[in-house]
Parts: sequence; C-alpha cells; structure tokens
Amino acid sequence: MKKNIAMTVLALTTGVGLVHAEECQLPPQQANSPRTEALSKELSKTNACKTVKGLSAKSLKTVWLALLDTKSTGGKRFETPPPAGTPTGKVFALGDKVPFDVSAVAQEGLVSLTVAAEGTGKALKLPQYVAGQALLIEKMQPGTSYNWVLVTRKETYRGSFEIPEADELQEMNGKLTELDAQGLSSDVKAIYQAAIFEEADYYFNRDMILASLRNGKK
Amino acid sequence: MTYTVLTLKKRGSISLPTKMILRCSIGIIALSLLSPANSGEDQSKTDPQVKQENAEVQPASEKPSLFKSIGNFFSGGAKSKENEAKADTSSSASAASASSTATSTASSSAFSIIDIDTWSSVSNVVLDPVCKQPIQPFGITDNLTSLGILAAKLKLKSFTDSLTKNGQQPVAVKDIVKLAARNLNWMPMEFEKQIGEGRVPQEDVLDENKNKEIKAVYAKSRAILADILKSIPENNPYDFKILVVKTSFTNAVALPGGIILVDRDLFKKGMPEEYPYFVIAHEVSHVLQRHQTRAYQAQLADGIDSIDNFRKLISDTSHANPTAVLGYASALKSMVVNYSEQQELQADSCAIRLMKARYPDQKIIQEKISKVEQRLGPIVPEIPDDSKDPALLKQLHFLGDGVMERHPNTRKRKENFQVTIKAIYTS
Repeated sequence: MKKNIAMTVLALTTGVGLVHAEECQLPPQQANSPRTEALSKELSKTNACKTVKGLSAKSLKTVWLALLDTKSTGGKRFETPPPAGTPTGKVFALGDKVPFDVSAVAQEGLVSLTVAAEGTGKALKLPQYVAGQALLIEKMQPGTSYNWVLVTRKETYRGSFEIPEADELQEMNGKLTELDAQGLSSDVKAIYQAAIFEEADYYFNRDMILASLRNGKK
Repeated sequence: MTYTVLTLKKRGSISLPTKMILRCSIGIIALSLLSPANSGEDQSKTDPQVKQENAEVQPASEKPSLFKSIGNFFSGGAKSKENEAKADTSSSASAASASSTATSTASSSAFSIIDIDTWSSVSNVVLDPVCKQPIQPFGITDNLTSLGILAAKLKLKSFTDSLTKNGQQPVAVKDIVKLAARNLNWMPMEFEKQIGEGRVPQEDVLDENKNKEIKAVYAKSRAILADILKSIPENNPYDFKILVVKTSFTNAVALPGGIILVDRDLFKKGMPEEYPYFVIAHEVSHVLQRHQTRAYQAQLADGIDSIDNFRKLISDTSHANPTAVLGYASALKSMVVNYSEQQELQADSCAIRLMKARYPDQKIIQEKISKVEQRLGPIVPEIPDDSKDPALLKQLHFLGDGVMERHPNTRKRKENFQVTIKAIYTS
C-alpha cells in the first residue's frame, strides 16, 4: 500500500517536473546560421521562469520563431504599411523617448514628418534628422496616443502609437531591471527582452530588438 | 470541335481529376492552335472551313469577325452586358486611370470569358474601373474557353495584323501569348488556396482567446465579413477566413484563396464603424478579383517567351508545389509589375459595389464613404515619379514579395470613390 502511494507520488512529481520544465525551458531550436545555433544552445540552458518572474518558455519560442522568420507575407493591403522602424501600437518609451527610424524609406526622399498628440492636434518639435540614425522623439507622455504622418517624395505613410499609463510602464521597467541583474550575455538578454515585450503586446519594441539581432547590432 | 465539348461543361460541376484531364486535353488542343506555324499563316489554303470563315471576317470594323462570333457564342447572353460594360468603362476611365488595353466580357449564366482582343506591352491586368464583375472567373472551362477563342483568333492573320506595336509592326505571337498568360485565370484555385495558407504569418496571428479585446476584434470582423458575403453567390470557391494579427496599422491584408488578416487595432477607440467595414470589403474584393494571384501569374508570364514555355508553365503549376513556382516568380523580381495601383482602385470600386446591398441609398453611401475618406492620408503635392531609380525599387521591395506594391494617393482614391458611386448608383 505504502509502496503504491510512494510510486504515485513519484509519478506525479516527475510529471509535474516535466511539465514545469516544458513551461520554463526552451530546448535547442532550429537555427539559420552558426550565430543563431550558438544562441539557441545558450538560451536552452536558461530557465525563463526563474530569469524573469511570470515569463514562460512559450514566449521565448514565439520570439525565436519571429527572429528566424524574415519572409514577407505578401498579400494585398488596404493601405501601404508604415516602414519598418516607425512606431505603431503600444510602445514602451525608454525614459521619455521613442525612436523613430525612417532609414527604410530615406532613399524615397524625405519631405516631412509630423507627430502630434491625439486630441490636441499640436505637432511636436522634432530633432534634426541625421542620415542613418533613428530620430529620438522626446517628452512622450504616459497615457497619451500620438499620430504621425511621414511624407516622402513617393508615398505618404501614417500611423499611430500609444504610450501606456505610468503604472504599466513601471511594471515593465521592473521586469527589465530584473533581467539586467541576471548577468546574461547580450544576445540572450535581447531575446529575453523581446519575450517580455511580446508577452505584454509591445510588438514595436519587440521588432526593434529582433531587427537589431538580425543585423548583428546587439 | 473543341468548342462543343466546352459548352457541355458547367462551372462547379466538374471534379478535380476531371478538371485536370480537361485542362490537359483541351489545353493541348487550344495551345496547339497557338503554334507559330499556325498563327501567322493563312490557313485558308489548306482548310476549306477556315477559308469560308475568313471570307466572312473582313473588314473587322464593319462585320462581326469570326472570333467575335465565337466569343458571342460562348458568352451567350453577355452581349448586352458587354455593351453596358463598355459604356460604363468609357465614362469612368479617366478618373480611374485604367491603363489596361484588353476588354473583359463575362456571362454569369454559363461561362465567364475574357476576350483578349488588344495588346499591351506591360503587365497590366484587365481592369474594369467600376467593377462591373465583382467576381473574376475561376472555372477551368472559362479559362480554356477564353484560350480557345484566342487560339482561333491567332489562326487569322488579320488578327495579328490588327494588333500593332505603336502603330507600326504587327505584334509577335509570343507577346500575345504573354498577354493571355497575364489575363486568364489559369492558376488553379487549389493552388491559389495553398499559396494563401502558406503566406499566413503564423507567429503573428493572435489567439482568439488571448483576451477580450482580441475576441471582440475577431467577432466584429467576422460579422462584417458575413454581411459582405451576403451579396456574393454562395457557390463561390473561396474559403473566407478572418485572422487577427499583432500589427497595429489599422489595416488589413488579403491573401489568395480568401484569408483576410486584420490588424488588432482596426476597431480601435474613435474609429468610425464605416472604416473597418470598407477595409474588409476592399480586401474581399482583392480576393474575388484574384489580384495577388494575377500578380504571380503576371510575374510568371513575364518570363515566357514561347508557346512551349507557357504550355510547360500551365502543366507545371497544376501539380507543382507552390514554393517551387514562387521561387521561379521571385527570380523575376527585377521585372517591374506596376499595376498594383490600378488593382487598389478597382478593389475600392468593388468594395463600394459590395456595400450597395447594405446601403442602397446613394446619399447614405456618400455619408459612409466620406467617413472613410477622412481616415485616408492627407492630400499632398504630387512629385513626379522617377520609377527608373533602382535604389527606390530596391527599397520598395520590402512592401511586398517582389510584386511592386503601390497604393494610389488620397486624391486618386477620392476621385475614384465619386466616379464609382455615380456609375453604380445612377446606372
């Protein structure tokens, strides 16, 4: 009797342990270069649940697949989508700054960029554009949405983004600070940052990190 | 004759294997007529029937030609529709700037035939700017009938002579074949669906049960889609499906076969309800017009320089995997397929046509469309396009997968809205 109970307990704990491992650890993933292969192995040695509270291996996997997936969807859109590097959706402002990268369309010939807080319609003062560098838009206010219009010689792009309320930003800051304290390599840390943003729907920030990783800038 | 076989088959009643057999057998017969030896020669010397037919053909401007007669025979009662379509097209061509030079005629009762009777040097598609035909032909018999008609035309020297390059020398048969390859919907529907499924960005699709917000976007999008689909025949071959994606561009994307990717913020706070409705109707129109598929077809067609090549292409696509064919298409990326803008205008027009069932009153639709107009980008001064700039072309490739994706500016879209409303609501 006692033996049976012991076996049951053992089986249950092993099962729970396996499930726990699946939820928290990402096994080595498919890679598309020696660099990503090494990164995948390094990542598999980490424990998502312990590294950042509340994070799961599922988010790491989603981010990993997004990192490797560079193919264009194609299809027919209603409007020309905003260029890569321009903020849309929910955006995490580092300090009070949001990067606005126009380099993807710089060769079209930049004409103007206007960013205005929703409701006020008042255009923000933007810094001088330096070729090849993202503009840093300052004094972004929590809880505010911004609309922007970028005009090039060939196309007019528009989009909007939203800076969440201060408490949400603070929660994100907490997670990022927690990650900083783990002493991970810069690439693994970047994947973790992307996963944190992925889980909280900050896809612009996630994509910025993934773009940097693809370009080898991280 | 080949044509008798075609008339016996109705759309939607043929199984896939039968379709394939039909495709091969009829296609081979039709394409054999397209051989260079046949196309340029006067067949009347060897074929008494053709001799008799040729006698009835000339001059084309005065009498109905043989190929016109064949076209009318197959299109059945489409003649009156064709005349109506021509009248409509001429009234609105300037605003919609349709640069296509071929004429599309269709019959919804039996066959939908694309009658190719003019020549174009670029990959323009047959575009009806006010969208008289919201659903492009998709039946294999439709396409092969169209091809058969073209083959018959090519047997007549007068046809090739009548098509001239810039008013000079007659057009080569290979160019006419290219034209056919661009304009006919020869890519099988099953293939089209496979392409669509393969292009879904799986990692960006949001789970319907992620949260209340996403669930609501799915529900609202599906409700709109269901409403729009009420105005098209139920026996269409498309499997329309909504997928909500992570992007926040207040946009939507149509993939071949009927998949519509909706941005998560399409119904964001403050968005007028007319906007998502119009956006989804626009995307449904892209699917029904097979725009993306035709873009692939055009890319493939640009690589064709012989009838054999085209024959091979048709037979290959009926059983090849999409990746291989798309690989071939992407090898032709450098060739500019710049008809995207016209397709967008047409999709806008088709969207208005689809909305007519819901808003039969012209005043109401004007109000709805004005709400959509307010969401479009600002009208900015137009700067002359220097489309030969290779750096620019390279930059634009990120927007699509090699197909040049250009959207008309706000001024053109607004003008097209008004022309379309006038054409649809006053006809």
